[in-house]
Amino acid sequence: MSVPHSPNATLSPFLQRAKPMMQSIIATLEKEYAFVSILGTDVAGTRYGLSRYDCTIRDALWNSRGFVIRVYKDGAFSEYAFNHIPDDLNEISEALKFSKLRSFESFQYPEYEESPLVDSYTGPCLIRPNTWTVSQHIDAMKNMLARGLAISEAVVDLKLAIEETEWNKLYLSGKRELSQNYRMVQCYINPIVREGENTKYAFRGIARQGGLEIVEEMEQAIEPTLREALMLLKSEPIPPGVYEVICSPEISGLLAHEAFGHGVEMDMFVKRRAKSVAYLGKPIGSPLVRMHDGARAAANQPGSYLFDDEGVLGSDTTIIEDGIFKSGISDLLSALRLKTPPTGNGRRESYERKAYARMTNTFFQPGKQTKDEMIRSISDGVLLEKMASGMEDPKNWGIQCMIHYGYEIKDGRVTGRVFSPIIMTGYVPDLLADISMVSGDFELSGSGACGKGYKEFVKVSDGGPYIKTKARLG
Amino acid sequence: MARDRAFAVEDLVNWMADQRALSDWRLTVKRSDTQEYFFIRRQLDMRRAKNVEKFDLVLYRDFEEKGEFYRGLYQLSLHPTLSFSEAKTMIEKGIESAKFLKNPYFPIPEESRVKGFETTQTSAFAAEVYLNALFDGMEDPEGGINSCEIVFENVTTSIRNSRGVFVSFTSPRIFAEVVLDWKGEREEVELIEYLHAQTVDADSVRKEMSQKRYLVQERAKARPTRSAREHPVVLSREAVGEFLSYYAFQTSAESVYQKSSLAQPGRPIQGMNPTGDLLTLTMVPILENNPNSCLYDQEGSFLEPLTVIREGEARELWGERRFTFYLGRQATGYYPLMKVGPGTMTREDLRERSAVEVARFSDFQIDPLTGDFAGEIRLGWQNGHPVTGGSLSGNIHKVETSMRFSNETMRIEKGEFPAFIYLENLDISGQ
Repeated sequence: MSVPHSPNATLSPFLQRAKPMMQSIIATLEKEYAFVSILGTDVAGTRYGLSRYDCTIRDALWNSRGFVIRVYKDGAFSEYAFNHIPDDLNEISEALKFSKLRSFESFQYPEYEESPLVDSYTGPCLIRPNTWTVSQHIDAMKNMLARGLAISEAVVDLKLAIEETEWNKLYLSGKRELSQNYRMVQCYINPIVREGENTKYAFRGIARQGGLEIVEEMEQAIEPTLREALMLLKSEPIPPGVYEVICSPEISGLLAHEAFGHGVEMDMFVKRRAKSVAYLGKPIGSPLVRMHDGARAAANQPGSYLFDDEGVLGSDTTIIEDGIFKSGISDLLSALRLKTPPTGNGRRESYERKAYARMTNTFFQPGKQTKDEMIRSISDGVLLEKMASGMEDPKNWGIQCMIHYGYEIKDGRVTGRVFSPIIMTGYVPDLLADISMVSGDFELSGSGACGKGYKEFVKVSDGGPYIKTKARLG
Repeated sequence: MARDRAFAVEDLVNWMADQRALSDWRLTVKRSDTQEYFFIRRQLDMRRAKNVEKFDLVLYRDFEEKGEFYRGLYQLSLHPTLSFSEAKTMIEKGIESAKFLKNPYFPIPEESRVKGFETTQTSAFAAEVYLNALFDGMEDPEGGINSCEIVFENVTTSIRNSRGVFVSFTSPRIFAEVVLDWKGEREEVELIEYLHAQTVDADSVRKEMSQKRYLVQERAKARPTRSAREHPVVLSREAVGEFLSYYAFQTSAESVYQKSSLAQPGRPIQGMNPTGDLLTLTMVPILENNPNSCLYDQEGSFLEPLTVIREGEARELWGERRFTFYLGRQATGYYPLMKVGPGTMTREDLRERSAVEVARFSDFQIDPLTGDFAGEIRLGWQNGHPVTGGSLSGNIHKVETSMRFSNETMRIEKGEFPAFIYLENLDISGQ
């Protein structure tokens, strides 16, 4: 699994036009600063939305177009973000002159030496979004809406969306010229159903790099997603307690992401906010646990790219190997502080925001057992099926996973009883140590967004096989 | 800083006026400047600045089919780097596309009190006053500020439409994310805290930080939360705002029109025969030193306080002009803040009830559709002792008739609320 390089990435016309200006900025600022880089981004796309009550076209959530300059001088890095083409480059120089704080000292970073590199990447796309007219988009969703609403009178609404974006990035510095261009299509299905005053809903997201070929999967998912929402009308709250659980690939991904992924983002090491540091090179989970993250660890996923937002090539990091914690994932500045190699995980929500150590495609690797074997091994437990959200706690290794629903397992079989919603909490090392079975399946998904705490959202994917562990459910 | 963009707003506005297929439009221009500081302990790790200008345009196109009137709406962003020709091409595409968007007709606001308001912007000097207040008294061998990010932002917004609305205002915003840590008997712990303000008030920052330091010190002493069934629980701080936001969703015109909510003005919204405190919810535009304060909504409508729930009964629906029009209700507006009145419960009442009081969750959430709520406990008190871990879960429909509000109020980013809410018969999944 890797991201293929392509020698001639086709950048957006905007970035092609902006490139001479970006080069001039570097040439101007290099007279004053020991290091200068500039990242130009142009993310453009459209979101088509249709429901029983509404029909809209709007910008895609991720649209942004602008630049961020990073400079280094006298041990300090600083940045300036803007979204216009300056007439006078002195304007940029002035913006980077920050008034000195009288009461606070700055950390002294070592000088950064970038190695020379020229590279580019163009992502795959079978059906280009601009080959469909607006009415084709709307008609495709109208058909899906009609099919969905016809399934049951309990369907109150069915919200559908197709969001297509084209991501263009150009990174320039004195020694590097990196460019990448890829498209991403995200499809969303959200039925709302009601019996009396009992309201439930389901949610299905499909997201990958590529073109409108992904819409076919959306069309196939309409009926199963509606059936899922209808099934939840019969769901009940779960009796609180500790259960043996089987995590679906989606929940495994949530666990990998929230339980351990955030805790190995190495800016947390710098801040002494990660408990995982004490476990480097030591056992952290069951020997069955193998976990990776990387922009090049999975192809064509929402978290796949050639280079990160600091001009570092993406990689494939082995985080846990046979239960041993091997390595964290790093942005550039954390790597400079820690004197470790950057892993190409420095990501920004947009050109407007700071870069942080962030996950990309995070997953547990598959094992050898089957889902059926896992179910048969449980006398009283839950098959956790669909996620809602999660929140990390890298310092104290608590975990909060909001799970949309799960199936009861009794005496080695799924009973048909459904619990919803479920909150899974626990202590990360316990959850990882209790992993006793890992299936040979493997799925990644990435329709949502990952925040660092409560902000800084970026596209990621996560997943893995079915895994069996123990967890506290409520 | 001088701004040069390839297209001029007035040229665009004049050109749009001549487009016969374009029935209406709304243009929002936001200019944002920030000064950003990133600290690790007391040491400055990085400084950043931002200077961006954004143009958000909504196009409305009316059409008729079989005697019915429809209005398509298409939203797009115009980047300041676009040429006039490029901007026109994008708008023409939008106007053409809007004819496929078959929404029942609705009007856009026509009147607006043209009354721009300005508030004090944060100078570099004031920024340092704020930073000093934040760190004041926070250095201790046992812990303090682990790291923090502080953003001083000035946003100038103008909203205008084809029906004469034209308002502009400046809104400063100070945002701080502060990670506090403290050494406990077993391990060092942390809490992630947020501060929001419009202006620098050093005394208020010191007071807030002192409270936050107390909370992280309490977490350092915490032991695991014990399981409890059908137990009384007290929510405080941000969880109160999140919990009560369920009722804001339920009384929004959009939710009612789309049948996501069954609320109806004139009918009870807090369950049948409530025995606890009755909810009164007012949507408000302004609260002192709250950065979300705004006299105008996103459509440029002037906002005045609107009581949507009075003593447990839905009274009004709030939201975009489109959805109030569809429902045949009076135009109200889209509000940035909520205000919920106090109740009857005193701190003394609370102490007598041995409730589990939760001050901080990992991420307390309520589902606005179903009323299910849950969160992992980061800091609470059980039998008077600080606890951490485990989770709280329930459904609002099972607790709303008996819930009680404190007689004190507090202000958080979402608005003004009772300082705590007392809920009965909840399950805690702990050790």
